Amino acid sequence: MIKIKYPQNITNSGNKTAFLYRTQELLRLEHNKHGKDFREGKITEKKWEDYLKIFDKKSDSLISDILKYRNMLKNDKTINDDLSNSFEE
Amino acid sequence: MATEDLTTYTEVDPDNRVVVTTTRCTTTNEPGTETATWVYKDKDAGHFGDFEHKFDLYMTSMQNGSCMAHHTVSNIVESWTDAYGANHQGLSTRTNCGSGGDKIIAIRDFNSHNSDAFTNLIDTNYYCTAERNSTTYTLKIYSDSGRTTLLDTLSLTCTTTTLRYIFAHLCYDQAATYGTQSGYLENLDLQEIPAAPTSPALIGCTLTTDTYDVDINIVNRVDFSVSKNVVNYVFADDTDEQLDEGKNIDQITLHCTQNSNHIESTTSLNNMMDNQETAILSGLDDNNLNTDYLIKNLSYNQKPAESAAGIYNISITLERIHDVLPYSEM
Repeated sequence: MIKIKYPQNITNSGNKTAFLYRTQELLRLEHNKHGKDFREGKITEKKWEDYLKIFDKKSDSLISDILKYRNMLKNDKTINDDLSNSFEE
Repeated sequence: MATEDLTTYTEVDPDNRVVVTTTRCTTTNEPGTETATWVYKDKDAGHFGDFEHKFDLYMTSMQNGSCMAHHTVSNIVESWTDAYGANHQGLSTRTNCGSGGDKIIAIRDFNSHNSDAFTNLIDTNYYCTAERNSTTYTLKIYSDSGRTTLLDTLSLTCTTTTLRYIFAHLCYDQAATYGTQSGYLENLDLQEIPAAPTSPALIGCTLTTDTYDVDINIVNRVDFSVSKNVVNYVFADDTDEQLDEGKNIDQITLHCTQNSNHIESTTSLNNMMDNQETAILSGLDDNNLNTDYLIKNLSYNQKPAESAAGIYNISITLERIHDVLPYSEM
């Protein structure tokens, strides 16, 4: 598992979750860039597979933290503890 | 790996919603209120631990207020809502269209009710990879069959309970829905190696017989892939000895992973390099069950020079001896 490096100004679960989703999106775009290069023959199958190994490790780390902080958000009563005021009538 | 032959699955379809071919399970105009329509296979208790399944999903119609499920692994044959409502063990992929017309592909853990979702389109191919790894369940959704363009990765925290049934289709069974859906699941690949034949008892089917290019980047260590989900590592135990002659290899350790389970075996391997002998690898898998393999025909296209790093050609034949577990559970 590769440890996620959070910026120093990101400390709470909400910001960490946002950071993780944005990082996951950046990783997805990087994945697809490599995938395109592979489809177009710009990189070999071995390089593509080598990349996927790194991608999977990074992806797994992101998912692990996403699930952790997402769960913390779901249970954070300081964010919302009153369903009655959460929807427009 | 071969895709599942869906005609071997059990089809329960009282309202004639489903058409099953070898590779495709098509559902037409199924209302979310459908109570007992499913296509599934009983793989026996405890079959699915960690797994990685591939399937394609294509929806041709998703009316507002509709839902149905597709790839599902569970411990009970019931509708989606019954399984979910009773907190049964299971992991499911469903397509849902809300009253506002938002269309999603969603994953859900029946037991914990954890979920995640992706906004999808109709008349679009989605190539999915569902993976359970311990308490993490993910669904990677791609736009191409080569899985080079990733659209999204859904994730949830799940239980580790082993599961029994695999579904290609599962009705939703929710009275509050009012719309219908049409679409199909195709090319369901459980990525399992076929179970060894029970007779003859001594030798199971050949696990690997291929030749691979390997990169020896550490002295006395050889890493090579055997197949998509099997990775073997072979190395000599004595770092003072080299891979220059077969006689110098006095021990071999083989690590074998399949569906994330891990087997590690060590055996004497004198002269194996010269393709003269066979050896038996005995070890414990992740379930602490004894598993024996016959390893033979390990050979190089050339003898690596002492301390030499480089690309070598290796072939290995690995046969299972005792049918302790189906291959799919290794």
